[in-house]
Amino acid sequence: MEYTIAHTTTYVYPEPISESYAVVHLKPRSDPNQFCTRYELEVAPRATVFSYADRFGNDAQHFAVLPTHDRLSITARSNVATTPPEAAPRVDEATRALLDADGDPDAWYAFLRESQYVRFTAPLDEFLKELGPPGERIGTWCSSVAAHVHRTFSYDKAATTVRSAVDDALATRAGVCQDFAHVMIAAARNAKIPARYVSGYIFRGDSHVLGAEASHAWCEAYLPPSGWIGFDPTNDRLVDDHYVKIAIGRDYRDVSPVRGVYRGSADAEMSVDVAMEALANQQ
Amino acid sequence: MLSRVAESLFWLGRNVERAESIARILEVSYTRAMDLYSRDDGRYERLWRSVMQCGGFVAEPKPSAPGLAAHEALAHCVFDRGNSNSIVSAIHVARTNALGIRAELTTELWVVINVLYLSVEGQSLRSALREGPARFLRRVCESTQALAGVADATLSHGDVWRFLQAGRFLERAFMTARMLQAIEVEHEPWHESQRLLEMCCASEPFVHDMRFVPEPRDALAFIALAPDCPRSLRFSFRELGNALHGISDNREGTFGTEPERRLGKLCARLDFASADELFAPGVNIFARATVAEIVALSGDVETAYFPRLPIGIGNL
Amino acid sequence: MPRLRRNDRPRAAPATGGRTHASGLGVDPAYARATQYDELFLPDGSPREHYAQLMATLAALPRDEILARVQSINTMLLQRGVTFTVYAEASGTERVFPFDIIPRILTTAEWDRIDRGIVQRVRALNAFLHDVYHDERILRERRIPREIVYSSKSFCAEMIGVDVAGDVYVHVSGIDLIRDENGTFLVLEDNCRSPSGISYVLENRTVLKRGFPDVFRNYEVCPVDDYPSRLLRVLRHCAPAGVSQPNVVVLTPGIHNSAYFEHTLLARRMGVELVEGRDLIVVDNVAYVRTTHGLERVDVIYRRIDDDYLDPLYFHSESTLGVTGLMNAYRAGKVTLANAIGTGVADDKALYPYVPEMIRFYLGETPLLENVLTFDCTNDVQRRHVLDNLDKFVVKNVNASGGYGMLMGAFASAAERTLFAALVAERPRDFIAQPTIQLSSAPTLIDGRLSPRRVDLRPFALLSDSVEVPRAALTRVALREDSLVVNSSQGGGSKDTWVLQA
Repeated sequence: MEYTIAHTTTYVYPEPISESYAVVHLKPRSDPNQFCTRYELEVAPRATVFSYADRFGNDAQHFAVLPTHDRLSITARSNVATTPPEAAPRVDEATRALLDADGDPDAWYAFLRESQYVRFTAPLDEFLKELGPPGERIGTWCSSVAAHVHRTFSYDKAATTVRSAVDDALATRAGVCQDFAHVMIAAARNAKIPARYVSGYIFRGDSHVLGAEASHAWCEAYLPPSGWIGFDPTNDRLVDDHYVKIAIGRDYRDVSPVRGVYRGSADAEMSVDVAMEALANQQ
Repeated sequence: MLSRVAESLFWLGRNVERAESIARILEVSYTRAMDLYSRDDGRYERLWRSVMQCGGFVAEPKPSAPGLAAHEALAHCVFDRGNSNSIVSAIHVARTNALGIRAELTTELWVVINVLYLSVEGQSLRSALREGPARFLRRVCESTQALAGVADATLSHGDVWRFLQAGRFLERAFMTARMLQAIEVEHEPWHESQRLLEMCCASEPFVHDMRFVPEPRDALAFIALAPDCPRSLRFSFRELGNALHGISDNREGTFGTEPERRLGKLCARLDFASADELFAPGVNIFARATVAEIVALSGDVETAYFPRLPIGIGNL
Repeated sequence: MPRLRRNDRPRAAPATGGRTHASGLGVDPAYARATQYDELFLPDGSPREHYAQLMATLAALPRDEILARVQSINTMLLQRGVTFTVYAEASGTERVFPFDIIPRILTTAEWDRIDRGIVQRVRALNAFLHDVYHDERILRERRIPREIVYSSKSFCAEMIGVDVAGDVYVHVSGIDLIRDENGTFLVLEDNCRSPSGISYVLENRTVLKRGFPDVFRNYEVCPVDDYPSRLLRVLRHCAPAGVSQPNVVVLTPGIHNSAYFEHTLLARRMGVELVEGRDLIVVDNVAYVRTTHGLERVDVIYRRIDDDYLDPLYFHSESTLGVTGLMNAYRAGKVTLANAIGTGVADDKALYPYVPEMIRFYLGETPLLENVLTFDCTNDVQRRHVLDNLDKFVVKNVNASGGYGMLMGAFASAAERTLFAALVAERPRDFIAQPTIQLSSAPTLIDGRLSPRRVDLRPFALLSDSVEVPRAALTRVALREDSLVVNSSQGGGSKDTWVLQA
């Protein structure tokens, strides 16, 4: 599939502010399953945009708008070609033994620990009890976690905030894709299965999927022999060529689409608009 | 120079000058008030009311037993931390500013400021009254003057010194204008003009300069226009102008910055108008307009050299 | 051996006469029961050779004269503003850092050993920092458990893969040494963030020279006042590539910081600008100061602000002390920060036991300065031993400093010990334990007589292309009787510290 995506974030301030600095994770990654053919970041008021590769290999940008302003808009335009994996992920073949025998545990050490949003707390233990132990078939177990999250959590934008750790979602059994991803990551890491957070987009197409109106998030678990496999607990499905991956990290904190600081005491009103289209000649 | 440093120097200069002015105003008035102590014709209260006005304190002192007015004025103008014009507040602010630019000041200058601060912090209304307010106030005057002297003698006379000078002379002009505004000479021409002169350290230079028996109005003209009296408006403006020109590096006679332009107009008026012209609408009206111009001038300096940053920090 | 000038041997009374000859000051009888190593007195009560002249000089001064001069020194310190802020008390209490007039003297031989040990240690710590933010060799080779590094509050993930100018991380460090019963120097802890105390070293020397010029008679003491210029050289050396005349500034959190006096002193003595976060602005990855005549580029920032507050864009997002975007400029190599960001992981108390391993791993050398025996509370066996013998241990919170968050088992109440036992059991990663060490003592003027008080020693190390250890070290002294905690926040003071010239 080939997609064209326009992702606009707008901040409006009730009174002028100055010296806005922002870091954005909006550029889709290029990897064996997807290729970013075009990427532009437009900032208004105008600003010079700088890029750097963060520690997870994501291509982050940052910029600053210094003069006084009362509105800031950031638009990322990208074209991405995705291909289905050559072979379907061998989820059911993943075993604890294979993971234990895997060569380089150092590489995914950070994805086994707690992180800012992913905490091993009592509500998580309660949740894990409902699932039963992972046993040997850890891939199958991961699928069941995604399914369980999908079945027992309701999609509710009002239930949590962007700063919520897993506890909030676990307490109310509600949240958005970000929370579901965090819950699944917490479950997997707690079971000593490396798991990481992925931000991206999901293509709506004709079918109804959740999380398609804005940027999306899901969980990747490290499951040999396949390696990293994407689970989307929001929609209870495996990640395929309908998904576009922007960035990977330990949790939302590492890859938040826009993060920034400004001088002034006015609170911004934020709006986000994501337009994702499949290019016509592909279909 | 860092904008913040310039700002702190400017306010250091202003607050030290303010403490000195208020101390002298109180000292002079306290001594004068002794002559009026036993009268009940309102002159005693009027005197202290004018002191309060000079100190920027607007509330009317309660009509109370004689003696109390003095204590109230002392309490408000010296020890009231809620009154930003009081001596303790001014010295506290001066010291905080000095502390923030400690790295720019000589150790000698810092020690004088710190010693002044420590001595005032250790005082209370009660201890000042016990010591005799005049002695305490004299000490403040002397320390602040010593401070100005140490600044002149130990700081390199670059922008650090110039911003300090700018604050000092802007405040001096401001206080002199406020005194002109607050003291109504008409009621008691001789006493009040004498008090005004003493409050400006100008009584001896004045008689020396005049060489004839002066009219009270001459005293007002002297305080506004005397070119060499260090507390006259004209002198203060000239020194302020020198400091600002040194900072901007503009040639004398040119006015490249907003504060220079405003000050140029003020100076021209004092240079070319006679006292009669200046005071024609009334001394009080002249003084009030001058105070307003000085406040605006202070704002101009701020905008030109240390613009305020928005307060607070927000997160996207 | 100390070098006394020829033909001018000390005129001290014979050593066999006990301690009473020590000026009219008199000696605290507490010395009679002292078991620790004393810096000045030998066990028989006579002064060590390098202190003999000092004792002779003091003996010649009348007691009242000494006390009057002490008083005038204290006034001088207050007026000069040599104060620190006590956080635990009402907002911004300024206190003079207590100064004891009896200097602590180190012989050339003692100093040489310290010097070499610290050079070695700082090289290893710096190598560790580079490694832990790049190749992780020491972790991959399992010499240090990865979990200890990753769980360190000071490990800065943003620094992974970031190259710093000259690969220098710890431009300035302070290594705290103590002396055990035998007089052997041991490392108590490392300070790799922004160790303070050098201003007291400089001021102590100034006021002692003014107040007691006589005590310097017949000693050749290394000067300390070249420290600022050495520091400036190191800072300039580590400027971003291609900058030949770097603009250096000192960044302070402001007047309320406990070490503010030091920040002003260093800026003044280096002749550089002292700035606050709001004075700086980052434009297109370049840092500038806001001046009365526009923006002026900054190349090197000697920052005395903690990592967490340095850049609200990457760290504490509410911080107004820092400079937004500074991390971007830093990552882009447009500005040098000294010390580097993330150096705190090297002085995390939980990593302290592994420093000797770092020395062996990176340098292939044997540590010249020993660590204090330290128990790792995450290790079940060690933790149990600690909890069973709490009264014999000093337990330290790895995330605290300045003598806060610490249990001195031998002196603590049963309730305090119970509290700490619970804390250690709950969060073992946050605590280490060390057997109570008898720090050495040095005679200190208390109530007009010489009393034994415990001291430590903080030499400072400067790192650019090599490590130098200026002969300007801070001796902190615990002023409370029997106290083993020398931190200023816990009632500590300081002494002028002399390193004798070779």
